[in-house]
Amino acid sequence: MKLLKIAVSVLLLLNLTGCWSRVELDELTFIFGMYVDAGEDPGTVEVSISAPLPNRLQTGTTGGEKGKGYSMVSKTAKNITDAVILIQKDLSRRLEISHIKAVVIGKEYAAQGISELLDWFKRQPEFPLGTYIMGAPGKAKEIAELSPIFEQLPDQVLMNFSKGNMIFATTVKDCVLAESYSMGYAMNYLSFGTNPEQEEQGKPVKWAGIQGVMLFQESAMKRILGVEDSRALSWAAGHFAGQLTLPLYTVKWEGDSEGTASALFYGNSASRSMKMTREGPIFYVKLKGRASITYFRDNAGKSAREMSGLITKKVQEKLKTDIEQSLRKTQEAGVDVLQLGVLMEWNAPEEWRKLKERWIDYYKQQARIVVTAQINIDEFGAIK
Amino acid sequence: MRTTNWQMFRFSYVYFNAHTSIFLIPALITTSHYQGWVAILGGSVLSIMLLVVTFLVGRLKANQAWIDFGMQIMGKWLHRLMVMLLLSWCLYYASYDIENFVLFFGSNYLRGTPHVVIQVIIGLVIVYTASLGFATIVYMSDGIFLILIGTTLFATNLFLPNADFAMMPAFLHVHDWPLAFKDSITVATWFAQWVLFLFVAPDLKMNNKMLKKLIEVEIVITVIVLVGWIMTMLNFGPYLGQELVYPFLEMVRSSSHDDILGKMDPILIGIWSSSMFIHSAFLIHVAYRCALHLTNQRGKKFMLPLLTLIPVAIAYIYSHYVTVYLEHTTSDDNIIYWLIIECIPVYYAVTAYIRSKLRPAAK
Amino acid sequence: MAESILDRIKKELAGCSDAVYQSINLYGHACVLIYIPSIVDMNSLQQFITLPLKNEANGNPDWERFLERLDHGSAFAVPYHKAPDTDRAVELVVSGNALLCFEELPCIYHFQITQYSKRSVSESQNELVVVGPQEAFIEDINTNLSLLRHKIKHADLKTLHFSIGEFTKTDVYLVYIEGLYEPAILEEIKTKLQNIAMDGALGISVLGEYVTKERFSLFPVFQYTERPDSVAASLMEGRIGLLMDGTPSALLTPVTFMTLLQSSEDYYQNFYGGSWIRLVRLLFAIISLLLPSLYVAITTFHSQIIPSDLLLTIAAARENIPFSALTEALIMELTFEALREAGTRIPKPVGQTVSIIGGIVIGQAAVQAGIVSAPMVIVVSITGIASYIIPHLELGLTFRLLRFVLLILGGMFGLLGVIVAVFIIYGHLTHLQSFGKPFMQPIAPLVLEDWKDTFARVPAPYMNKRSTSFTSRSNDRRQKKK
Repeated sequence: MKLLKIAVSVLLLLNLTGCWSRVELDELTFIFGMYVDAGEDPGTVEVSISAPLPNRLQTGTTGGEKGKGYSMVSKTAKNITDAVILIQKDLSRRLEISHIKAVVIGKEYAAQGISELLDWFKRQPEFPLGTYIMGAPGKAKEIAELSPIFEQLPDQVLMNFSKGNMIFATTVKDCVLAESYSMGYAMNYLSFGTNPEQEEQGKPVKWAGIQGVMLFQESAMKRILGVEDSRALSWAAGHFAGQLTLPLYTVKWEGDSEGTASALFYGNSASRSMKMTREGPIFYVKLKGRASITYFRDNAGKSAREMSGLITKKVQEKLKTDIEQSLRKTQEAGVDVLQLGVLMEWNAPEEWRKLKERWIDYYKQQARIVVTAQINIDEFGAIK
Repeated sequence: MRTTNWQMFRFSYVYFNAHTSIFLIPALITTSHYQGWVAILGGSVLSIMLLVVTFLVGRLKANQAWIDFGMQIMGKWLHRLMVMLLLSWCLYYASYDIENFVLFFGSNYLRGTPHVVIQVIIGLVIVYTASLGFATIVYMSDGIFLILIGTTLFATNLFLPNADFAMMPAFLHVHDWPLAFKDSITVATWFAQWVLFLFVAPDLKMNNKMLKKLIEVEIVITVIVLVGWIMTMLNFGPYLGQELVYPFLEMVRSSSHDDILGKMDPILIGIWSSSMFIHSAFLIHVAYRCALHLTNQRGKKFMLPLLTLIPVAIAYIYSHYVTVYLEHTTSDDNIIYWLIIECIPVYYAVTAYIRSKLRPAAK
Repeated sequence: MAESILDRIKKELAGCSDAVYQSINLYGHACVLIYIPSIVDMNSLQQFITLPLKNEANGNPDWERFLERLDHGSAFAVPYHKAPDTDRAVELVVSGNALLCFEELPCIYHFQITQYSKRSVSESQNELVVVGPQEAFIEDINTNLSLLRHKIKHADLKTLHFSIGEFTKTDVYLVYIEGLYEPAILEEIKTKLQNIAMDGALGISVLGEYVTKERFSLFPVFQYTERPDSVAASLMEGRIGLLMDGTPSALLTPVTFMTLLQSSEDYYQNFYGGSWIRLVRLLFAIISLLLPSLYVAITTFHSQIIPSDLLLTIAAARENIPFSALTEALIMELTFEALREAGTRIPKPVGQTVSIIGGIVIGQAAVQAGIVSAPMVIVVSITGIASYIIPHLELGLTFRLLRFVLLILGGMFGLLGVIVAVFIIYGHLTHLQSFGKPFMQPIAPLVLEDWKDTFARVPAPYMNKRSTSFTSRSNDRRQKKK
């Protein structure tokens, strides 16, 4: 009998249904990429979204020229929420952000400060905090015009850039987490241009890549580093940047013989620690790696195995120098990318309380960072 | 009814896991930051103490339900007052359950649906489950227990990759004893709802073995909450952690990029909701027993729907004043109210002790 | 005694023109043999009754000696008894006995030489196994009992007889093994069977409905089987069986949910194979219940769960479909139900046509015409196939019905609807009792010893205790060697 009563109640409930949250899949526009720029007028922001067009992406039934499988809409407004609503106003379907793949920030907007963007991201329950975020040279929405040769959509290309982790793999969560500690962070800095050799449908192909990292402190971009420094930094910042993929170091030697060798690292890790001394904290960054020799040439005919000791030493030195250089550059910019301040908060909270207010200045001028590197050569490849 | 003590373990695990796993941790991060673990351990110890006291009371007459023999200890009217208090607390707690669930599920997955619909649906589920009887509720929790353990392990696995273990020393370095004490009490109120377990007799015998099993449950729950808290801290840190309303969801979602694992959160939440229903159904069952005692076993037929209607109505009113609700759940008055109810066994134990001392003197 | 007994019998059997009255003259005393040839073993009749009577007649006339032998019961080579009264006598004629009625004697003798036409024991049609016994029950109760006694050769196998139905007077046997069964259940069934008053039972499920307390549950509280080895195995686990004349199925009780998902194949393959098959079966049983509702709920309410690539495919497929996902699912499910029912009832010659039409119309043309989307067809087909993996049809039927309920709730309330519906079904299942035994044992309540034979099957030497799901008299299965 109880079951019957429940059935009746459910039936009564049926009258209440309008099925409020129900939206069919073909009534949705999925935002795959979001591009945020500073607007033309100061104080405005321009938001562009890139969405796939499923009916043009249909696989199997009809192929051939049907136009691009994705489209972009841009709107400018005083703040981000207004801009998004303006975009929605001009779309025939509801926006759905839970499948977003990449967020790109224009250089100008980055310099102005992205705190509004990050706050907006934090508050949306549907927004996945694991989305990759990166910066663009110039206007972010130009990046969306890149031609996806290997993938179907440009947003997938951008996502895979970060996923591949050739430099950094910063997600929105990393940024937001760093902000909450008042620390710095870095994100990939894209490059963009035309590739004159390739052509598609008569028009030159636009190509995007990564040309470094943008350093952020207090939600604003402070400095841009080049590729070399970025890759070095990425190794040291292993925890935030994701494990750097395939770092490569080429060393030369002179003396008894001249030669060159390249070590490709298949495994790498970095750890940070801190020691309190009377003069203040000393931060230790330890790097470890396992290398495989991919190129070796020695004009005295020695084998790679014989030279492995020298190669190891040289690579370690180069690694240490590179990373020290990139860290110095972050110090000059006043960006605590490695989040050493938080390390201090965890290990020496009393002293941290004293330094907290002026941490950025301290980091700029006085922070002592000691870098040590230790690598092992695992194997030498297919020839001796 | 098939009764084993191992069964009590499973039932109490499901009962306690429901609330603490999702709602305790954000509250704790907000108040305690790095030393939440101290609060958790402290709360657990306090809760075990209350558990022992509850058992002492329950064992006074092992074959009779507390609700029947309590009169002999406290006197008729005082006992009725206690039962009344317990009844009101059960209903209020159930309304918290419902409103929590509505806010959680509604804001994350069913945006746009009016809250009253979700409240009515949950009310119906709770009425049905409570009407099945205590034996069935315990049996159901057997099955749910297995799935729950599986998903807890699976979920913990999802949280590990992004956890920053360098934070661990911070747990030991930050000390603030007064805060730790206050938070221990708060955590204890979450863990120490043993007064409800006075109602398992006479279906199950309250003996030392059951006490041992329940202490084991307490330890297991403590471990799981501790692990959950550690994972949340390691993933989000105290400052971001206290901003997020439902860190578990964010952890699951951000654990992978565009991979099916990161999208599993609705399934995990679905499994969690079943333990939530058991939690509420047990509360309503206890309220039902209390109400029947107060009305001298009259009105059995419509008592259950009436008793469920009250929490649904309270939740409905709260859903119109969400800020008031959020204030109430995190206020200190709430903790005091909870404490008063959870210490009911203490009053009985003390009174019984005094009486046993007075009686020989009266002779 | 105005009419003679013979006249009364003739009056009762007035319209039955297939009744034969054979007159025999014995020592000058007339007697009549009354029988219905179609249901009597004519060979036995000739050999043991008619011929000996004729030989008697030709031998020495010794009426008194004959009467003595008749009284003693040694006049004929086949057993015979005195019929108590005329009404009973008529009943006996129509149930296949032959009556011998002497003009001067007040009593009637009847010979039980019933022989109905029946088919031979064939392979099981509905419960197929690859390895293992293939015999199945037939309609004749004696053959069934012989198949059963072939499996269990022990004096403790008891068979209680009941005769049910005013017009059908069906023979019903309650079988159980002494010392293993649950006494309370047996008493309950016995009382209920004794109190049945109905015109006639033509199928054993009708009896089932009388005997159980749970009238309105969707889930079956009995298990039907047409295999004697299943019955034998169940009896040895402490269950009770009901066999009915005229039905080639036996009814077994009590039953648990997990039993309804098991088939005898699991025991005849090696235990790795058996366990794997069981797990696959369980998985697909759940899929058959949940897949359509989950699909509808996820694609309409929670599109965040679907991975992006799949999302684009489904969205593209749904582009030009005029119906909402819920409507589409209902259309497809109903069509599939129609197909299923048609496939069962269709006469064999036309069977091929149906499958072709089903495949082409539903699979191909509907998708191309844009009435339903391809992913929906896939979902419904997988569900359909998965629903046949459940070995017992009763449970399959239940799942078919529940699937619709879940589909509607999922389409209205999304994942919340599915969760709530599954929870309520689970609560109902846990509360359900099959003759006092919890339906969801050994999952809820959890009984870990019984898990040796639930999701996986351990090798036979390790299964040495009977499950407590069916009887509380669980004994050690191993008998000591004498």
